[in-house]
Amino acid sequence: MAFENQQLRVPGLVAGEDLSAAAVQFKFVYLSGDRTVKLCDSATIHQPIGVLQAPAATSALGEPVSVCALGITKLQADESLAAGELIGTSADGQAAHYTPGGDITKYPVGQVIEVAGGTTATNLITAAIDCLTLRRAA
Amino acid sequence: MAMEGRLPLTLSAKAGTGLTAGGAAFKFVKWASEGVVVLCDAATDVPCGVVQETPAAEGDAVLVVAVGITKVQAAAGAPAANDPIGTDANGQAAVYAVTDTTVYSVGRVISADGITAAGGLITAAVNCAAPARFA
Repeated sequence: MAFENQQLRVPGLVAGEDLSAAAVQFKFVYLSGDRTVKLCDSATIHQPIGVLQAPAATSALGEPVSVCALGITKLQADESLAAGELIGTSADGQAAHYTPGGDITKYPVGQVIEVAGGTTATNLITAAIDCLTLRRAA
Repeated sequence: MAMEGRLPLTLSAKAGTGLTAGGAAFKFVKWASEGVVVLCDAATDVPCGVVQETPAAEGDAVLVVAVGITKVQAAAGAPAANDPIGTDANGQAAVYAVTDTTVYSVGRVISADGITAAGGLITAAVNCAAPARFA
C-alpha cells in the first residue's frame, strides 16, 4: 500500500482554481502566482512545486491547501511504473516516467519507491520528490 | 511580505572573509574551507545555502539554511512565483532559464511580493544539498 513519510510542505499556499474534487488529491500542482497553486495540466510547460495532499475544503479560490514539495508522498500514477524510475508530471498532474536524454522538455522531480500493484492510471504509488530544484531530463 | 517556513536542514558555520559587510543576511553562501562560508561571488559558484544573518566579525557562527523555505535577497529584475533560481555574482537570487548549462539550480520562488529591486526579500524554497546545473 502506498505510504508517506517526512515532508517539507510549503506554508501559506492557496488554491488558484477549484481544487475541491477528491480526484485531485495526490496530483502535481504548480505555482500560478504568489503562493497560489493550480493543477499541472501540461507536461512540458508546468513545473511542479509539489503534490497536493488533500482536496481543498471548498471550491472557492483562495482556499488553503497543503502541498508536499520535498519528501516521501503518495502520488497518482499516470501509467505503469516501476521502482527506481524517474518521474515528473503528466498532462493531467499524475506521475509519468521520463528518461534523461529522451524527454529533454520534461522535468523529473522524483523517483518511484513503491508501486504496490499500482500499475494503472490513478492508482497510488509512493515516491520521493524534490520540486525545489528544477532540471530538465537533458 | 517575505516569509519563512520549516527549515528542515540548517548548518552552523563560521563566517569567512567579507561576510561581515552590511547586507549579507539572506544571500547565498558557499564553502570557502572546512566549516567556513563566504558569499557567492560568481554565478557559477555552488551555493551551500542561504545565510540567515550578518555576523559582527569574521569567525563568528552563522546559521545557513541548506534546505527549506527561506527569505532570500532578489537580484535586479522582477522574479515571479514558480521561477527557478540560482545565485548571481552578488549572492542574490537570480532567475535563470532551465536550459542554462553554467548555473546551479538551487531553488524556486514561492512568492515575489512585487519585488523588483535588487536586495528586496522574496520567499523561496531552496535545496542546496546536492546542487546540479540546470541542464
